[in-house]
Amino acid sequence: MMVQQLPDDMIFEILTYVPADTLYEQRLVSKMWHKFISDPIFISAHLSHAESGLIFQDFSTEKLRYKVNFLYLEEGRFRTKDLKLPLLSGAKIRASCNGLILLENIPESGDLSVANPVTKQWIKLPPPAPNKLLSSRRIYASQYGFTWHPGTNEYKVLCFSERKAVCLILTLGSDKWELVNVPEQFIQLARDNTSVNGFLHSIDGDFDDGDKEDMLSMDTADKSFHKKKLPKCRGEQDKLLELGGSLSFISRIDSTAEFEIWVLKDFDKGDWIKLYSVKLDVGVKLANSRSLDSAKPICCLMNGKLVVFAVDRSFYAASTQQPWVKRIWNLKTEHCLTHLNTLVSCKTF
Amino acid sequence: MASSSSSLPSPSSSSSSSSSKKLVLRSSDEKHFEVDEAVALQSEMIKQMVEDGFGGDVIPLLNVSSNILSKVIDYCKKHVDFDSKKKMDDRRRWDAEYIDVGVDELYHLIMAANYRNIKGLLDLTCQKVADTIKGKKPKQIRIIFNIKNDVTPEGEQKIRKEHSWAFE
Repeated sequence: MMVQQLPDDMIFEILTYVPADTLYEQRLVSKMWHKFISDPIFISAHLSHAESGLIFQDFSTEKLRYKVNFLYLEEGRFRTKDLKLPLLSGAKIRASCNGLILLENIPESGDLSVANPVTKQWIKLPPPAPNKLLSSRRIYASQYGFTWHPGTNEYKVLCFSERKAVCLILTLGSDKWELVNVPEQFIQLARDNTSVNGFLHSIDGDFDDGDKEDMLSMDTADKSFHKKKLPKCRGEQDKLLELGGSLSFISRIDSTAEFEIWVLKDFDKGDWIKLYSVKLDVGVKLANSRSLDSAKPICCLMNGKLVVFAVDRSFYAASTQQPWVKRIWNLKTEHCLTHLNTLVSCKTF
Repeated sequence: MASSSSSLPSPSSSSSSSSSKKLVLRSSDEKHFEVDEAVALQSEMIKQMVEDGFGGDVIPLLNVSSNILSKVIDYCKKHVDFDSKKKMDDRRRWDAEYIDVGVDELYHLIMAANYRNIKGLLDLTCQKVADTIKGKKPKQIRIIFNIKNDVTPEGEQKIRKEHSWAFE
């Protein structure tokens, strides 16, 4: 026991280091602790210390309920934790941003909701107004985007329709969806996008056109579209990922187990810097060397200290800081999302 | 390594060269510590004082006792070494051993790190306290942190009901 009470500002500082779910269980300690946990200034200070893990749904559960799991690294071991967020059959987690998740078919089929799995707080997003470009009042989307802009502190949900070159954008806190036309060539954003600081990025893999590989980006703040060069072009195994707050481009060096990691230093200038390289054959035995041809980076962990690769049906985490690769035995699905354990509220906008 | 002001100990840091500039720190119980400037400058507070042209010979640290100050200096010395070598594993191992102290000492280290504004030590100490919170009940937390329970049973009911997940 501490002989003296710590001053309030020190308690504040210390609590920003406690994982959100642990902290949420401690909200009954005192009135002050409870106040901190729901205070936007505290939540934002806590967010800056939050370390990312993976969130994925466990479809093997009985009784038509899906378990939602959080995978994280603790003392060198990968652990999974049941987030106690049972979802009805058909409900899907489609995106994650600063600890908030975008849920499809919640509460009813065809609805969209945003929730924080730690606090269990949730909001149903308003349905879009009837529009002749979209067939029904239900939100129909083939792909979603979920972004946060650090400058404006705005969260935006984007729904892309793959059949029509349009997307719907909703800023959390507003009740109106905005319809934005997406230039034809940017429809790639609807298939596989990476969200970083209010931007959505995707690779334009038009390999027939002389191995040209560009990056297509959308600034969700002013709805502008941009095309930038990628530092390398190697094809199918290339991937854009958020790495510790920056956009990174990961690409395998042909016929090796080595992946180069480039980080975008300046979006306007298109300056890419090669920051790391990871070798997948360090300390682990892959089934065979051919399986490297299917190895693909899928997400980042620990704010970019680790990159997760799918190799055949197994998953490996590789460190960007040192030669270290470890198999993630408790991950069985490629459908996982980088997720932060935070107290961010979906209601205070 | 505490001593009286009349006979200052020679610094023992392996990274120091004999020509480097020295600063003298004084603890709350009037002990004097001579350290390399680079070591003292790990503290943002001291750095600010030096930059502002602090003219005195001795920097007084009114809130830090000699046993805590010597522990803090150990940290700063070691981290000046680490910064020049960039060995992350060594640093982590050393930090883990360094911070393996009782709650009371931890309390004083946090206060010193905060008062002298030493970012790395503040991170380390706060993380250590944060780790002790894991897996405990609110009741145990109140005991460790010496906190009075001011949540009424009605208040507790209200807090528990704040959000509920309705889609099971």
